Amino acid sequence: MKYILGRLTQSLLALFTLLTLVFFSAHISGDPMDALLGDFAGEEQAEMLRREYGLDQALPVQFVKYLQRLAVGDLGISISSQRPVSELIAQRIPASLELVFASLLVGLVIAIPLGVYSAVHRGGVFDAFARFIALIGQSIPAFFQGLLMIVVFAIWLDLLPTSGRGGLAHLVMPSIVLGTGMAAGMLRLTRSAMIGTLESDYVKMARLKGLSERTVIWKHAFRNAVIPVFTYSAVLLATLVAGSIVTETVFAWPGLGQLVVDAVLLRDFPLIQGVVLFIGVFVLVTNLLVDLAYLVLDPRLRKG
Amino acid sequence: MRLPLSMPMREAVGAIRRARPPMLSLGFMTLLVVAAVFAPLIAPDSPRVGQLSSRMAPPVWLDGGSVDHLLGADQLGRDMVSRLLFGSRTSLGVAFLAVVFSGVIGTLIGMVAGYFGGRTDAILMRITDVALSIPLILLAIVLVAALGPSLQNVVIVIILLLWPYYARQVRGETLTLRTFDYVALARVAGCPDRVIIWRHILPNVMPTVLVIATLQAANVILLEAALGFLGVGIPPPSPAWGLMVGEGRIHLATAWWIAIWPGLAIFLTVMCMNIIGDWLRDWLDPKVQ
Repeated sequence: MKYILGRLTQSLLALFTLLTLVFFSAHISGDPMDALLGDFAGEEQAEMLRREYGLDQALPVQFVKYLQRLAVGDLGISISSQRPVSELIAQRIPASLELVFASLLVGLVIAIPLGVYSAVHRGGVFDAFARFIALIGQSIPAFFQGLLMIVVFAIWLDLLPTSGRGGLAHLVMPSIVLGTGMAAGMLRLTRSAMIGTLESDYVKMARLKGLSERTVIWKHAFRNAVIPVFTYSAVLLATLVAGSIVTETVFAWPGLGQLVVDAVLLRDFPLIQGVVLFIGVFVLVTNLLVDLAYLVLDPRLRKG
Repeated sequence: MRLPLSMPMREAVGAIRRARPPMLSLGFMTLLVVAAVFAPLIAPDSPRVGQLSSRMAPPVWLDGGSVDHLLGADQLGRDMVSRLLFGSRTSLGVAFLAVVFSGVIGTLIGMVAGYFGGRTDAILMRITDVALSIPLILLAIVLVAALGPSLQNVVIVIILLLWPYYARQVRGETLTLRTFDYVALARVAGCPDRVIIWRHILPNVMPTVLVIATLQAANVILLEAALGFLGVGIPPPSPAWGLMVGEGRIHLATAWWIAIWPGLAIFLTVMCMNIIGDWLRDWLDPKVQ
């Protein structure tokens, strides 16, 4: 119980820090009126707009008002598009979720077979190959991989669309780029978890019983090794929304990541605050749930 | 189930291992550092000013390429080789500064928290918890955009975001070191805390710090490049690899080399740093996995 309370406090603290940082950093970034009105607007117009958005008040006052509005679920109005921030965010959620889940799937499909095989054939060619794949996945910038794929599959071979969201074809390249990025960590984790279970007594027992190697690996060893891989995936799922910013920009994928970049480039304070807050809360809540799920799954942790 | 290939190929794998990717990576990084330091002397052209006559000139081996621009020229007729060379200064410079400063700050905080424990520790570790639970790139984008995109601000933001990674690990090791006899004896002998931290703790956490620093350097290069690519990093016309990829993106169909070379440069550099980092980790401390 004490652990849960501590963990909750930590999440709340993180949330508050995020809020504060985002609020104040958005406001030192310069006057949004410059971006909004262009060079030809008069000072009077700017002043009027500032008053309308409450930007003429002292920062701490604005901050408190912001928190008050947040408490009732009001994220404010986007300066650049004049529409409620919550509405703009809601519009992007399906695209983001689609990309995130597709990428997660790609990551697991790459990482699990490679991880299991390299654990079974530790020290062999396959293991070296898998390590190499993991190294590449860890080192290649998402935007570079994305552009390479665009050159090959969209420009040279003319097989896939370069950008936007539509049918399955649009999803292929973005999800592969984001998925391979995640696969590196998953592969290493699967491999080490499999090595752990393969050396355990119950796997030796299963072998002694004369079960086939296939049954031992997939039914006995893998079933236990997969648990940490899935929890890791849950944590990744949360960070993916933030991690997809670059990938979304490369493929003009209309998700939350692009909304962040657009908002920053337009200096749209309410929108920046809204999206970052939304993503931050998503990450914090997922992490909290994963930690709590551990407590339920592993009674040993409850005492600590 | 066992791959028949795996047995006889073991020797081949051993041979590849003996070829030592870490040594090749070290060699590559040394060359890159030398190139970055002497860029003004080596670079054939200005990285900022181009001639419009050689606009989008292809690399020398393609039709229409010339020896003037070995790897081609960009959309403003600037020589790619020169821009890549000067770009390495940006990438390596940012990585070096960010890693060194966040390393010093993080190590100090980690040692103090781990050594003194109690309330200091609790407060410092809460701060790192918070810092580590917020997605890095998200904050980096918002903060750099807020402070204004410049080389200096990119470095400052990355330092701000990176130190908790050191502090976390160093604190853990300090906790263990503190229980060792020689530290206890030094205390009994009346050695001041400052000296114990400096003489007995620091040298022992250095290997860990070095490993984190190498792996973080790879991450910093990626992060800085991503910021540049998104257009919220170091502003043009500075030669920075990530920015170059971002600018070359729209010319991908007609002049792929503008975006692909700097992308390749980032990829190779990050891969080398990762290889060196993994190797250092195995070499300095086989316990850490």
